[in-house]
Amino acid sequence: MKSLPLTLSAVLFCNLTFFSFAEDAKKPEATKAEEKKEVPEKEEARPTTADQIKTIVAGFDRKFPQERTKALEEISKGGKPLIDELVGQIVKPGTGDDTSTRFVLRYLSFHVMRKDAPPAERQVLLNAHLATINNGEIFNEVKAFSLGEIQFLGRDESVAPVAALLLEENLTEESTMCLLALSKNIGADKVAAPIRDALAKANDKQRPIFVRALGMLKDRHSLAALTEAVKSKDSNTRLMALHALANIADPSSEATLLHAAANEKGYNRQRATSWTLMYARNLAKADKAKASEVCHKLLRARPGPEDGNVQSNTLHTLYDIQGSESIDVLVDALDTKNMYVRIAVGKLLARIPDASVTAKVAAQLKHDKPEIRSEVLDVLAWRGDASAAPAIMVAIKDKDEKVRLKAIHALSKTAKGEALPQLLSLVRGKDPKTREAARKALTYLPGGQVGNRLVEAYKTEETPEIRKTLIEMLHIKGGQSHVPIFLGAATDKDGSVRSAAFKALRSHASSEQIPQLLDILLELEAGDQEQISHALVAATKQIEDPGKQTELILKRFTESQGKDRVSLLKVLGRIEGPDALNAVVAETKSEQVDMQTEAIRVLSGWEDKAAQGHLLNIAKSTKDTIQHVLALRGYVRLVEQYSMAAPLTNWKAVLKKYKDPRGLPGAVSRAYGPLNAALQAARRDEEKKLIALRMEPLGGTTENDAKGKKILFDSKLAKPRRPGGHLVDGRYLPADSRQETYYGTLGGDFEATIDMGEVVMLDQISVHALQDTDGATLFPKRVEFLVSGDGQDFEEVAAVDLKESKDGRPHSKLISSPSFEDVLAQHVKVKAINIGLVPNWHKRKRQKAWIQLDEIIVRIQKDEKQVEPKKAEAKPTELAQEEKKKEEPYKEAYIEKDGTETSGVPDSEFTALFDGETLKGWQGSLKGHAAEDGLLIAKGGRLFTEKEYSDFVFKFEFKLPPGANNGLGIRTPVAGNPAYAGMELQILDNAHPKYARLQPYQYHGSVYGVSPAKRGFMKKPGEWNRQEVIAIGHHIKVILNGHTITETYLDKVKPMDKRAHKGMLNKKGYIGFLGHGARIEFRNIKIKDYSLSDPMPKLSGLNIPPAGYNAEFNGKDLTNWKGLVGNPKTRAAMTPEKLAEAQTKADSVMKKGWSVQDGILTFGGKGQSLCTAKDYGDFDMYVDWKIHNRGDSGIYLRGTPQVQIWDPNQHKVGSGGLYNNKKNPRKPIVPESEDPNAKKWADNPIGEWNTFYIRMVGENVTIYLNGKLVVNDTVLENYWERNKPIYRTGQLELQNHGNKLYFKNVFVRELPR
Amino acid sequence: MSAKGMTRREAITKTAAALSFTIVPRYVLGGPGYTPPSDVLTKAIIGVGGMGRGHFRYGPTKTLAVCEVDNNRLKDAVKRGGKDCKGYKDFREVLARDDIDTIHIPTPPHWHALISIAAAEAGKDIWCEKPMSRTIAEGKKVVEAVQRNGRIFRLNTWFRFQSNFYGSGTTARRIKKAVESGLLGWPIKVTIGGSTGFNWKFGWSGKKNLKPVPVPAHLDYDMWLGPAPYKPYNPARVHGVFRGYWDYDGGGLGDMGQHYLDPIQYIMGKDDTSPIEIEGDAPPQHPDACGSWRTIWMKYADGCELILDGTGRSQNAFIQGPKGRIDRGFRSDIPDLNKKLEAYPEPEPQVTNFVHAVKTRQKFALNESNGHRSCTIINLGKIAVRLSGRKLRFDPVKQEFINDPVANAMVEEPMRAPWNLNGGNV
Repeated sequence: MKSLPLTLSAVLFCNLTFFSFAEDAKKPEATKAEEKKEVPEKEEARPTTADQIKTIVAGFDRKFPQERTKALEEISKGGKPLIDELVGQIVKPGTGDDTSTRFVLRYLSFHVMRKDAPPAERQVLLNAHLATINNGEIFNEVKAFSLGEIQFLGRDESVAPVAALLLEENLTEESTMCLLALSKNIGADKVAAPIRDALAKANDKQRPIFVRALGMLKDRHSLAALTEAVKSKDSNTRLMALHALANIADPSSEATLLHAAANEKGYNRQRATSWTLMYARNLAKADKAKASEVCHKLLRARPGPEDGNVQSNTLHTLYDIQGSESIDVLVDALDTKNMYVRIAVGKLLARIPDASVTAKVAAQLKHDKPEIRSEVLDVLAWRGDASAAPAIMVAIKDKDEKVRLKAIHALSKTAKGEALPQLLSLVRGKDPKTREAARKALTYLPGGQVGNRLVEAYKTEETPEIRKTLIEMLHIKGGQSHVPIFLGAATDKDGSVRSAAFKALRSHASSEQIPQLLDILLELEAGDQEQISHALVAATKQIEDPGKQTELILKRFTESQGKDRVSLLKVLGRIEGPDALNAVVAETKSEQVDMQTEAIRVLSGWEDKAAQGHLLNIAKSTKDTIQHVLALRGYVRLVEQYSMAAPLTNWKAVLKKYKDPRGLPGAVSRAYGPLNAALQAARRDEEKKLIALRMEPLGGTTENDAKGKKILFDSKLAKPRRPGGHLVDGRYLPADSRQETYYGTLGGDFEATIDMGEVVMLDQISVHALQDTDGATLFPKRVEFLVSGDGQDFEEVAAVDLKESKDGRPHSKLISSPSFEDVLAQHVKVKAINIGLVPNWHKRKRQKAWIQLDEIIVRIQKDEKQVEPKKAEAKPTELAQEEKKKEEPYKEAYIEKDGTETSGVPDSEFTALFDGETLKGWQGSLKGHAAEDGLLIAKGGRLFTEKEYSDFVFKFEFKLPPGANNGLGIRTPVAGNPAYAGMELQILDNAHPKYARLQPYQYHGSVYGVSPAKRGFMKKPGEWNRQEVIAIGHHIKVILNGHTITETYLDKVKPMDKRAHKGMLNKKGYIGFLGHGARIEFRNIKIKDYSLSDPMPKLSGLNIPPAGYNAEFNGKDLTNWKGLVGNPKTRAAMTPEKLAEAQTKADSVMKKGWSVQDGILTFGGKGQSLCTAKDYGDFDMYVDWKIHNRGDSGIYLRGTPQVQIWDPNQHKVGSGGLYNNKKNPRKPIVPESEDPNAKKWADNPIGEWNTFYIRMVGENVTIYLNGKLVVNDTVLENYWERNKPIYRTGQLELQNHGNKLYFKNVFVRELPR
Repeated sequence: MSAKGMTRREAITKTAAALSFTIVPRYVLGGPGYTPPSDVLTKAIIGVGGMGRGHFRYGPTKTLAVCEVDNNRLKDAVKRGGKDCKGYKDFREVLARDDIDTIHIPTPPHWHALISIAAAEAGKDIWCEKPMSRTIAEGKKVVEAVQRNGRIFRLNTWFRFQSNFYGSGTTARRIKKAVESGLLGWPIKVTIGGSTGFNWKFGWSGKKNLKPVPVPAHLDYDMWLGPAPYKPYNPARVHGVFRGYWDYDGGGLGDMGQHYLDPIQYIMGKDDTSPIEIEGDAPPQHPDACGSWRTIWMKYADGCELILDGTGRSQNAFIQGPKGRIDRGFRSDIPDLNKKLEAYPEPEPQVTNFVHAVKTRQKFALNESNGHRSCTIINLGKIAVRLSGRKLRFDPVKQEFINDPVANAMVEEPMRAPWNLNGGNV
C-alpha cells in the first residue's frame, strides 16, 4: 500500500493563503494582550502540548484565513515539541482521520516559507519531516506524506535522506518526485547523482521511473547508461530510455533514435518516431543543421501514404527548427499526394508570419490540378495577406468553377475593403453562383474603411439592384453614421431600394430624425408608409421619457387634415402609449364618420390593453355596423391577448386551436368575464356564435345556490393549490390541470366546507373533478357529501365511488349526490378521497396523485327554505371558544408540571438497558453516540439494542436542544427506514416554530406516519422529559411527562400518511434511537419485557406461580373468587346496593358448587360459574383444567363467553376456540401434523390435565392449549351487546355447564395499558 | 463545399474523380491488402464506462475496438460492440491498429489529453469527451499534437451549434448574431446564474479521508490512475464519482462547465484568446477533494466579462452591453430587437458533421483550438476556486499566469511515470 504522494500542485496551491495571511499577521496583537488579562493565573490553566494541538487541529480546514494564521503562529511559537507531536499525528490512511492535521501541516509549510520567516522555523518543521522519513519504524504511507512536504521545504540537506528511500518498495515514485521537485531549487546535478546510483541497483519496476527522471533532469552523465538501457528487453525501460535520450538531446543519440523509429513495432514505433522529432527539436538549440537533417532522414524513411501524420509532424518540426528556411520545403509539400499532409501543411503555412510565404504559396495557383489550386486559395484566405490579391484576381477567372468561387472568398479575406469594387462588379455579373458568392463575401467583408467606400459606390451607382445591395451592406456595417444615406434612399424611385432603406432606418434611426421621418412618411404611398412607420416608432422609443415619445407626432397630427391625418392616426396606433390612445379615442368621436371609422380601425389594432374598455364601449354604442364589428373584434382580440395570452391572428385558426382546451394558454379564467361582456355586446348571430365557441372551453356557467358563500378548507387534509372563492362562483373551468384553475390537493384527501349562511333544505350537491394524465391528476376514488347544522358534527348523506379511469385526455366529470328529500343543513362538506399513489399504468406511477376539483354546486329546495335546523345545539359562544382552542395549540406548547399518568409498572421491575458508562448492549452507530456521566448522548446515526423485543414497557428520559429531531424505533430491523420497516415513535421538539406546519402524525410521540400524537406536553428544550412507551400486542401508548399523548391499536388504524408501513405490524424487532443529527441526551433507559410467556410454564410446585404471575387460586380455599351475578349488562344496570345484595346471594350459591380438594379447584356440576373477585383489562393467564367424557366448560374473559372447553371427541372440534364469535374465527386452529391419523385438536385425552395460556390485549386474544397455538390474535366479540366492542375490563370466570370440572394452577399477570 | 445530398457511397460509385480530391479514407492509407467493407469510418472507444456507452451511437461510424481498464465493463462493451468489435485493456494496443480511423475518448478527464496526444501521434482523428483537458498545459499540448499531425479533433459538447443557450429559447448562434450586430454595444458581459447556469452538478464535491480498500480484481487501478498521483484505492475515487477530485476532474465545474461555457467564448468571439484577469470566491478547498464555490469572475483584454454567479443573486443568464441587454427568453430592453436583427448577417457557418469534417479535413465547429480555449476557461476557473480570493492575471498568448508561481504550478502538474506531456507523447 502506498500513501498520498503530494503533488507539487497540491503543495503550491496552499501557498496562496500564506500570501494573504501575511497582511493579517499583525492584527491579533491587541486581542492577545486582552486574553492574557482574562486568563486567571493558575498553573493548571496552561494547556498540555496534546491539548494545545487538539484545539488547533479541530476544524482547521474550515477555519477562516485570519483564524488559520493565528493558529499557525501559535504552532510556530510552540517550536519543536509541538511540531514533532503534530507530525507524529499523521497516520496511515484508513487507520484514523487525520484530515485536519494534514491540512495544518500543509499550511504550516507555507507559513514557515513566507518571505520574512526566521529560518529556524523552516528548519524545525523540515527536521520533523526528515526524522519521519529516517525512522525505520514508521509506515511508508506516512513517510510519503512527509516526502510531499520535503519537496517544498527541503534544500541540499534533504537530498541524502530522500535518496535513501529511492529503492524502498512503494516509495520509489514519491522519493523520485521529491528529488525532481528539489532540483528546481538546488539544480539538477545534485539530485541526478543519487538517482544514477539507484538506477544501477533498480529492479524492472523502478528502472523506468529513474530513467524518466534522469531524462527530465537532462543528465548528461547518464548518457551511457541510458543508451545501454535502450537495449533493454523490457519495453517500458527501453521506451523511457529513448524518451530520456530525446530530452537530453546529445548529438550522439541520433542513430539510436532513428534506429528505434525505424525498427520498433506497432505503437512503440509511433512513440519512437515522436521522440525522434522531439529529439530534433531539442537538438536544434545546439545544432540546427544536424537537427534538420534528422527531419529529412525521417521524411525519407517514411514516404508512404500511411505515414501522413509523420510527414506532417516532421514538416512542422522542420519549421520549428529552421523557421523561414523551411518555407520552400513546406510550399513544395502543398502538392503532396496525401491530402491530409497538404491541408496540415497549408494550415501551418497560413500561420507563418514571414511575408515571403504569400508569394510562394500564391505561385502554386498555377498548379495544374484544380483541387490543389482550390486548397492554395484556402491557405491564402487563411493568411489574409493583401499581397496575394493580384494572384487571386487571376484565379477569379479560373476555368474551374469551384476554384473561381473559392477565389471570390479568398479575395474578400485578403484584399478586404480593397476588394469592394471587384466584388461589386461580381455582384453585377450574370452567373447566379458568382453573384451569390460575391454577395456573401461582401457580407463578411472585413475592414474599417468599407463603410465609406460603400457610400461612395452608392452615390454613383445607377443600377437599383446594386443600390439595394449597397444599402443592405451599409445597414450591416455602417450603422448610425449612414442614416442620412438611408433617409435619402427612403424616397428612392425603386421600391426594393426604399424597402432596404426602411429596414436600415428601423435599426439605426434615432429620435433626432423624427421630423424628417414624418416628412418622408407623408410623402409616401400607403404601403411604404407602413414600412417606414416602423422606423418612426423605433425612433420614438429612443426618447427616454415615455411622456415625450409622441409629442412631435401628436403636434403634427393636430395640425393635419384628410389623408395625412389618417396616416398619422395609423402611426399613433403603432406608437401607442396613453397620449396616443387619448388622441385616437378622441378621434373616434370625430364629426366625420370616415375619420371615426379610421380611428376605430386603428384602435381595433391597439396592442395595449388600455384600449379594451374603449373598444367595448364603442361596440356597444355605435350604430355603424362596420365600426361595431371592428370594435368588437379588437376587443375580443385584446381579451384573448391579455386574459389568455394568445393574440388573435386568425379567427379560424384560433377557434380550431381552442377546441382543444390544451391550446388555451395563460390564466384562462380571467378571460371569461370579459368575453361574456363581448357576448352581451354582440349583435349578429355569427358574432355571438364565434364568441360562444371561444367561451366554451373556458368552462361553463351553472346555477349554484352556494355561489359566493364562504368556503373553509380543512387545513389538515387539503392543501388547496389556490385559496379563494372560485370554487363556488357559478362557473366550472376548462379541463386543463396546467392552468391551475382547479383546486388541488397533492397526495391527500380534499375537503372543503361551505357555510350556506343559514339552514336550508338541500336538493343536491355536486362537484366537478378533473382527470389529466399529462400531470398526475386523477379522479378521486370516492367523493363523500356530508352535512352539518353547526359546522362541527357532520353526517354523511351521500357518497359516490368512482371507478379508476385510464382515460388520458384532460376531462372533467360532474359527480353528484342523489336528490335529497329532507336533508336540512347549514354546512355542506365535500370530501374527495385520493386514489393515493398513481397506478402503474400511468407514466408517473407511484408518485402522489393530485385531486383537482372545481365548482361545488349546491342546489336547495327553494320553496321550503325556512325550516328549523336539524342539529344546531351548540351555542354560538361555545362554538367560538371551540374555534379558538383549535387555533391556538401553540401557546401551551411546553408544560412545566408533570401529569400523573403512568404505565403502573414499578421501577423495580424494569431492567436497565444502559449502564451509564458504556454502550454495552447496544449496536449500530456507536460512533454517533457516547456514554458520559450516566448520559447516553446521541449525535447522529442510529443506535439499536443488541436484543430484539416484542412486547414491553420502555421508559427513558431525554433532553432536547431547541428544534431537535430524533426518533425511537420499536420492533424495527436494523436495516431499512425504521419509520416504515418497523415503527418510529417520533422524538421531536415539535413546539419549535420550524415545525409549525407538521402533520399530527409527525408530532412528538406519534407513531410516525401512522397515528397522531397530542402536542403540548413537552418540557422546554434543555429540560428533562420522562417518557414511557407501552407496546404490547397491537396496543401502543406513549406517556410523556405523565400525560398520554398517543394511544392506538395498530390493527384498527390505517396509516395517516397513506404510505405503506410494512413493519407496522411486526411482532418484534430492535429498539433504537434514530438520530437525525441533533445532539440529544438520554438517561435512565429501562425496559420491562412483556413478551409472550412460555405456553407450558415450568412450575416449582402445585399452584405456585411462575415469576411475574399471581396465583389467582391459592390451592386452599376460594379467597379471591366470587359467585356470578347476572351478566355485565345486567350488573351495569344495578345500583351498588342491589349489586352487593345479589353478590352475597351468589357467593353462597358458589360455596355449594365449588370446593378445594388436595389443591384442586373442583366443581360438582351444580351451581354457577366461578368468578375472580377482581376485574382485569389486559392480561396473561394460565389455567389447567380437566373434564370427564362429554364434559363442557369454558373460560369467560372480562365476563364474556368464552374460551371453549369441551369433549373434542363429541364435537369433532378441539377446545380453546372463541365459541361465541360470529364475525371473527370461532374454531380453534388445528395443530399441524404429518400423521394423517393424528387427532385434529390440541386437547389431551379426556381425564388428563390440559393447560391454557391466554393473552388478552385490547379486543384481541391469543390462546395456547397444551403448548399449541389454537387462537392467534383474534378479536373476542361482545356476546352481551353485539354492536359494541368487548368491555375494557371485567372478571375472569370458570364456566359452569352442568358437569363435573377440575381446575388448578390458575395464574394471572396483568399487562399495563 | 460539400457534395450536397450525395453520400460517400454514391460518390465512390458514380464519380471516381470526386473521390480523388474530397476523400482520403483510412483504406487508402491503410497499406496494402486492406479492402474496406464500406465507406463507413471505423472507430475505437477508449473508456466504456458511463459516458463511453453513448459513444457507440455517435457516428455514423463502425466500432472495431473498445478499451477499458474495468474487466466487467469491457466484457459488456464488447458484447455491445457487435461481432467485429474487439476488447482491449491497454489503449496503446488500440492505437497500434492501422484499420481504425477515429479514436473516441470518453475516459475520465485526467486521461483525455494524454490519449488525445497519443492518438494524434498515431495518425488518428479524435472525438474527445469534455472537458478537453484537466490542466491548461495538457490542452496546449493537445492542440500542438493535433495540428502537427494534421488531425481532425472534435470535442463532445455541442451547445455552441445546437440546443438553446441558457433559457434564452434560442441558440448560441442567434445570440452571437445579436452580439455581433453591435446593437448591445461593446464590451459585453455575460452573467450565468443560479437556476439557468448552475444546475450542472454545482455542488459536486469529493469525500475526504478515504480509507484504503482492496482494489477489486476486475479493475486495473494502476492504469485507471495513469498519470494521476498514486492514492490508495477507494470506490469513491473511480467510476462515475471521480469528478469530486482535483486529480481526475474538478467537481461540477470541471465535469459540466465546458458544456455550458463553451458557447460563451463563441458568442463573445474569444475562440483564439483567454481572459486576462480571473478571480474566484470559494470556501477553502481540500487538496484532494473538490468543494463548492460561490462566484468566478473573468475579464478579457477588451473588457468583456464572464461572471459565474453561484450565490443565487442572479438566477438567470443574461448578456449585457453598454447599449442594452438580453435576458431569459431572448427578451431585451432594446425595442424591436428581433426585427432589427433581421437584416444582419448570420454568423459564419460551421462544420457540425464530424464524419464530413474527417473526410474533407475541415475543422469541426468545436475543435482542438477553440475547445482548448473554452477548456482554459474551466481550468482557470478551477484554479481561481482553489486560489479563492486571489486576483489572477493571465497571459493568453503564453498561456501562463503573470508573476505567479503558485498559480503557474497548476497550469502544468507533474505526472506519474511513465506518463508525461513532455515531448507530446506518452
